[in-house]
Formats: sequence, structure tokens, C-alpha cells
Amino acid sequence: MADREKSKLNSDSSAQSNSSQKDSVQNRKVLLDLISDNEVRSNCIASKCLLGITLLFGILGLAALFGLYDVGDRVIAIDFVIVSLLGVFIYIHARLLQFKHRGLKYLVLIGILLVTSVTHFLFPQNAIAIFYLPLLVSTSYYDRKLSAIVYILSWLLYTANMALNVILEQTSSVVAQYHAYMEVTMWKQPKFVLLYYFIPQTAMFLITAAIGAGLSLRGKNLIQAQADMYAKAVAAETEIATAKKIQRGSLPATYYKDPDGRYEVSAFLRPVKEIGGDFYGYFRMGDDVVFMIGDVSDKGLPAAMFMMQSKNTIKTLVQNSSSLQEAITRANTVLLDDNKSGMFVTLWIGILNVKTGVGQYVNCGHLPPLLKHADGTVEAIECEPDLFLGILEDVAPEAHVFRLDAGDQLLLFTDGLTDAENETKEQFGSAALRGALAESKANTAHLCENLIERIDVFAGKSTQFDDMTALAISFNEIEPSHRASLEVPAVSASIEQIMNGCNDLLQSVACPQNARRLVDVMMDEVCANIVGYAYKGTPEDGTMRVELEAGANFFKAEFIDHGVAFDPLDGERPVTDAVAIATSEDDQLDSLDDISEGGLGIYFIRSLSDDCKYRYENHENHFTVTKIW
Amino acid sequence: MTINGIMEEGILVATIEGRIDSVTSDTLETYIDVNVTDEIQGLTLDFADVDFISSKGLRVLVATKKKLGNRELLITHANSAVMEVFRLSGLLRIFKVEA
Repeated sequence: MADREKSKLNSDSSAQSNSSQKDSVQNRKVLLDLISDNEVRSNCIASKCLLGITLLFGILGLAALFGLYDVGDRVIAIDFVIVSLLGVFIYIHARLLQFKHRGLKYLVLIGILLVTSVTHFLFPQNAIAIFYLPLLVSTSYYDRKLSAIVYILSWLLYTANMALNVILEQTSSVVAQYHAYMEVTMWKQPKFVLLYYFIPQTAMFLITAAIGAGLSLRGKNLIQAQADMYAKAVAAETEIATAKKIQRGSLPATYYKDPDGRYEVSAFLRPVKEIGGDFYGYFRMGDDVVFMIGDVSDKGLPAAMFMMQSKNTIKTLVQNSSSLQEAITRANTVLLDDNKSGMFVTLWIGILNVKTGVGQYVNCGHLPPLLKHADGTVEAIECEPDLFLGILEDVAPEAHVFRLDAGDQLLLFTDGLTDAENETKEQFGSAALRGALAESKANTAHLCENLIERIDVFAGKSTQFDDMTALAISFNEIEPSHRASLEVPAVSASIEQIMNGCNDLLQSVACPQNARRLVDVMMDEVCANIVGYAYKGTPEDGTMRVELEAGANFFKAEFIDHGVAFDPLDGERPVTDAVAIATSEDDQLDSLDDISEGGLGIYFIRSLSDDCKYRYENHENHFTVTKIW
Repeated sequence: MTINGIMEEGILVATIEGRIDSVTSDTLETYIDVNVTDEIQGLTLDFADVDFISSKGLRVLVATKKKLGNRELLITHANSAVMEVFRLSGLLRIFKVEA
């Protein structure tokens, strides 16, 4: 293996062990914190315990000094009081330290052991049970070493007491007198003491110590488990926080103003959890601005991951396809692959020329955006929505033409806004959103915030249950379009005049040559179609009006005549004829003959135009074609 | 629209100038009727100066192809708009069209 590869492997593994070292250092710190918390609590209990016992001594001593109790000697009574004062002193000291000092547990446990031991010496017939006090107190520290030391010391002190009592019975008259006074005779018979006190009591002590050790271990394990869970929770939180940063960082700014001042975009996104599946996006592409909004079918981390993929896929494909329709069709295919979790995403994407405000949009299962005109009226940009992305193959969404005038505000939003609920489970609704938009006096920079505030007021105390996203775009300046108007008799001879007018207009907006040719084909088909039929059947030829409009990226023609209602698009469906030509084997050319006159023409009108519409109004036929390049 | 034809090794090479639209297609039709006889071995249409062709023009070409039968009909120097029209109509599979 090459040295460079080897050293890269080494650095990778050391980087990994560095990070896991950091983790285990972090985990150890949490564990130590929990252990020291426990120690503080145990210190508190132990100090109180010591205080309690010593106070008992103190009370006895005081009682003796006042003649209410007999402890044998005045000196002993004073000793008792001193001991209790020590106990009080230790307690107050520990309290001032907030029970936190490192050596405190040793001090307190030793104190308890001594007092217990003295008590046991004086009242040995009360058995070893007295030593259960230091045993229990030390167990609460969950420290096996400490417990072991205390257990051993306790037993040693017990044994010493037993031995002392036997020895001093023989050697000290004070002690012998005391034993006689207490009517305890067992100390005269060491063998008896050994067999019937020492051995059974030691056995009991061992059993109890074992139980204590078990409790101590259990306590320690619980603390360890607590530390582990805490560490995991912290790690998870950190990951989510990082994911949130990544996701927010991948979205463009919440406000943008074009440096030329032509347009402004503002956006708002509030996910339900830390990260969510809604997204918005906008970017400049040559003379066009592309803007979009989408909603992934889920919430939380999985939706966020799919959202990132969707957004990036769509942007890349839009930048690398020859049309919006092609880009979104390809995006659907990409999102279908590698999508085992079956998630899907809605999308509304628009692309507008920044000079003319004219362009196209695609709607894949998303709510129609709202358009607010400068005069305050609001309309929805409706169309037959195409299917969401990521569900089925062969989704070929349709691109529709739309335009924004100067002073218009377009609002894209996700259903988190219209579905927002209040305490009585009422939804905000699209009508209310329309109303809010109409009433809002906010400029584009604050429009989204303003609307969300309204919705929050409506929602009151109930919690948000779906991601809320909105994007607003407006144009401040639109280049005026070039127009021309012709009124000609509806006969073939007028076609040339119409075509000339059309080409003059296209030249005035510097339409590129290829686009100009295709507009010419389209216009030729429309003229041939309409002129041929407009006044068919009427005694005299009528006139027709042709309104032309063109801009840097579009051409639009409207044909108006007073003939009988005639829809140029109403005819045989020539699409299938053209396909039949392309796919049939024999006599393919005959099928062209079968197409009714004008059939192929209709097909070209539909294929070459980006939008064609017919309506009959006030006894007038209106037929409009639009082409964008 | 003007059409100029020369014979090259038995093949009629016709250079068309202008657009082949709903109005001018008739001119092309007439030219074909007159000049495409049983004697010529093939027809080449030079579209170098053809601005565009629309559906009426395509019909004329279809009729021409039928008239030629097995003899070849070749279209040369087609611009991208002409190509697009052939493509949309599905006729690229039937006509030999060169850019």
C-alpha cells in the first residue's frame, strides 16, 4: 500500500478515535457530576445522622447535670455534652460547606463510627445492630470501596469492644462495677460471649454487609445508566441542532432585493420541529428569476433530508434543462429513484423575466399562489395541478404562462398557513388568507411576517402542527411592452400584412432569430386557420382585429372577430395523427391526407405556443396565443 | 418565394428562397407539378434560404414524396426552426432532412 494511502488511513482512524475520546471524556464528566451530586446528598444525611446521635448524648449529659439522669460521674456527663457540641459544630461546618467538601464524608463517617462504637461499648447487649447505622449511611454513597472500609472498621470496632469488655471485666474495677450495675453477667464467661454473641452477631453482620454491598452496586449502576442516557440525549440534541444549521444554511436569505432594484423577494419558514420538510428557494438565472416553494409529505428529520435532496435536484435541473417543463419532468424521475421510504413533495415553481415580468410556472400538487394587484384586488393563480413529484413515473407537468405587473405582489405558501387551527379546531382557511392579504398594508419585505402574525393571533394558544412557509415576490419596475394593432379584412390577402406587423414588432424587441421563425410558423398557422373560417357562411367578409404585444422574452397575439362562434382549437385531435405518422409502418404518408384541413395546423399551434386560449364574449371570438423564449 | 432548379446527374436540385407558408405553398405545389416528371431520378430541395415551413408546406412535401415513389427526396441546409417543425410533426422519420 502506498505510503500516502497508509498515512491517510492512519489519520482517519486517529480522527475517529479523537472524536470518540472526546465523547468518552464528556461521558466521564457527566458521570462524575452525578456521583458528586449523590455524595453531597449522602453527606447531608450522614451529617444529620451524626448530629442526631450526638444530640442524644448531649441531652443525656444535660439531664445528668441537672440531676434527672444518672450517668455515674459528673465528668462523664460533661463529656457527653462536649461530644454533642462537637456534633453540632461538625454539622454547622458541613452545612456552611454546603456538604460539598471532598474530605467531609470521611470526617462524618469516622465521627459516626466513633460515636456508634462508644455507644456499643456502653450498651453491648444491644447487639451489633448499632453498627448498622454506619453501614447504612456509608451504603448511600454508592461507593463500594468506602463501604468496604466502613464495614471492616465497624466489625473491627465491634470486635474490639467485645474483647475490651471481656478483658476489662477482669482488669478494671470501674468497668466490673458498671457491668454489675447494668446487671450484665456475660462478660465473666468469655467462651459464652464468643459462642452465643460474637459468632452469631458476626454472621448477621456479614449478611447485612453483603446486602449493603449489593445495594451500593445497584445504586452505582443506576447512576451510570443515568449518565449514559443523559449523554445520548445530549448527543442527539447536538446532531439535530447541527442538522438545523445545515438546513437553514441551504436556504437563501429571508429577504433579497435585486441590485438593480427591479424585484424583491421575502420569505418565512417556521418548522414544527427543529427541522422540517417545507422549503422555499429563489435564484437568478440570466435574465430570469426562478422562485419556488415545496412541501414534503412528512415532518422532522426524514422530511428534512428529502427536502434537501428535492430542492437541490430541482435547482440543478432547472439550471441545466432547456425548458421548465423538461426540468421538472426530469426532477420527478430523479426523486423517484433512491426513494425507498416513498416520500413525495409538492412544488410550485415560477420563472419570470426580470425585465418584462412575463414567464411560466409549473404546479405539482401545490396550493395556487395568491396575486395581489396594485389596486388591492387579490386573485389566485389557478390551473389544473399536476401530480406531486416522487410518486409516479412518467409525470410530465404542464408549464403555464403568467405575468406580474409592476406593483403586483405574488404570495406562495404551504398548507401550514391555511390549515392552522385555533383552540376550537377551526382552520384559518384560504378565504381568510385572501382577506388577510387584501387588507395587509405591508410591503413585500414584511408581507410574510405580517400574514404569519395574523395567523398566530387566530391560532391563539393551540400549538402549530404543520410547517409554515411563505414566499413573496414583487416587481418594482417592468419594461413597457411594445404593442401594435391591426384591423384587416378576414381574408387570405391580409395574412401578409399581419405577418409583417408581427415581424416588425419582433424586430423592435430584438427577438432572437430561431424564436422569431417559430413565432412566424405559429402565426401562419393561426392566420390560415382563423382567416379560412372566421366568417364562413356569412354573406360578406368581415374584418378582424389583431392586437400584438411583445417584450424581451415574449410575444402575444389576440385575434378578435365578430363572426359566428368558432374555436380554432376545436377539431380533430391531431396529436394522435402525428404520432401515428411517426410510428406506423406502411402507408404512413396516407394518414396525413386523413387529417382534416387545419388539423395539423392546430397541432402546431398547440405545440409551438406556450399558451393558447379561446373565449366567446359579447358576440366576439377572442383567440390568444403566447410564445415565450 | 422563388424557386430555382438545376439538374445534377439526373437529380433535380431546387433552391428555394423565402418562406413556405400558407400563402406561398401553392407556388411550391405548382413548381413540383411542372418539374417533377418521370424522367428525374431524385429531388433535392435546398432550404438554405428557407426561413421556415408551416403545415401547408408539409402537405405539399408529402404529396411530392408520394409522387416520387421510390425515388429519393432530400432536404438540405435546414435551419433549426425548420428542423423543429419536422420533428414536431413526426415527419423527420420519413423525410431525409439535413442541417
